[in-house]
Amino acid sequence: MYFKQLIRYKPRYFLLVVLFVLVQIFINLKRGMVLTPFFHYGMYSQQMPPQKSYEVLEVWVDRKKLRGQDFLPWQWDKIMQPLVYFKNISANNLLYYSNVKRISAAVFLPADSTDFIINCQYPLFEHWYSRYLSTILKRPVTKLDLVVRHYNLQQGKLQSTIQVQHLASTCR
Amino acid sequence: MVVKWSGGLFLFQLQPPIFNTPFNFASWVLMGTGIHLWLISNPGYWVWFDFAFYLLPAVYMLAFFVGQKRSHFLAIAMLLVNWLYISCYTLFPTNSIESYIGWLLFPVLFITHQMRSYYFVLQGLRYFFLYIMVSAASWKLVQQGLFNAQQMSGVLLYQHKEMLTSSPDHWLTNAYYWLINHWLVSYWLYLLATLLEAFFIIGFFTSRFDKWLILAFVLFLVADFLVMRIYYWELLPFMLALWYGKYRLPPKRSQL
Repeated sequence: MYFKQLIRYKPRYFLLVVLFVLVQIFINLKRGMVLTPFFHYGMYSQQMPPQKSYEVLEVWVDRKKLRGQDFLPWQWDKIMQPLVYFKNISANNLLYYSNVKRISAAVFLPADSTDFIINCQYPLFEHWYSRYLSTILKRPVTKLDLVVRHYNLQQGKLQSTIQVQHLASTCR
Repeated sequence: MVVKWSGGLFLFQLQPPIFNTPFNFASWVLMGTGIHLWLISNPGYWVWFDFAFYLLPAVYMLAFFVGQKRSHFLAIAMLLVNWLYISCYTLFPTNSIESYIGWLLFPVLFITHQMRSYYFVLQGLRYFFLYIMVSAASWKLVQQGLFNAQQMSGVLLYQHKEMLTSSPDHWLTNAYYWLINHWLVSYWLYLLATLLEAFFIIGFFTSRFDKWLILAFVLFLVADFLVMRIYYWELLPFMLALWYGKYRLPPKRSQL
């Protein structure tokens, strides 16, 4: 009914809508790269069984670990997301070399590495994060430790292990 | 806007020094201009970026009531600013771009200046929102999340690992662990969410149940927030498309 009415109203609007639908179908079938505003709305649809171990980010401020219970969900995301992004720098840079450079070259689109590659400037990041965190905590941050600790799933709970690395060492 | 500002989620409040390259070709085109690096190097401009994004809707509304011709161009400007802002915003440590699809598509509605065009765009937005929900259910079939009995346990562990390990004695942590360890119960939650998403297919055939779909979506958002601590409030404008879905095609030549 919608399409019938639309094609009678303005055929070019109909063609635009059909094109929109076709592009979305194509993006879905490719199941990989997306193109704004054509996204995948998977919402945890890939199989995700419990793992034996997990890498968990920890923020220690003045020798005390920040607790998720003390923050609203968006505040906790604000605290964690920059650390996730820093930890992801290697994967980000790999994406450039494995896909961005290749695909951009195939369509004659410039993709200079300086626009995509992130350098591991941890001291700069930590300096920014310290100031950023103090605005969320509403108090100064004197000592800051950002670590990635391995937790094992044992007896239905995540148990900490001695495997811990500084966030700085996750960036290569 | 007020919620975002009070939550410190404006770009000038976040002032991010780091970005992430998504697997999104449109984002690569944007990044090729270097605008994200320019913003990082010139933090004084964050506030103007926020200003343009959040104030344009109000300026559009003012122009609309003063004279339609000006509002038409402002709506186009709003579309371009929204695309630029959201594409940049989601490069930084904020939220996923999918949750901002409303910001990307709704300005198209305001570019129209005939009632019939408005009707077709609004109906199109309605169908697009229905597609989002139904596709979420379909992906769970196609990518086989539905066939993993421990799916929700795995999802909860992944989503909440920082919360579970930082707050081991909190009641919410205990609730999450209960769901994780009672995988059959948590699987039923996952299955119910999938069925709720699939229910939206009814909207493709009739608009009679649109009010129920609005209620279903609000329930979905609340459950998502409580169980997953995910907040997709910015999809709520699509409820307007459902609410007005009952209206029929306006007569010819009717103006906005």
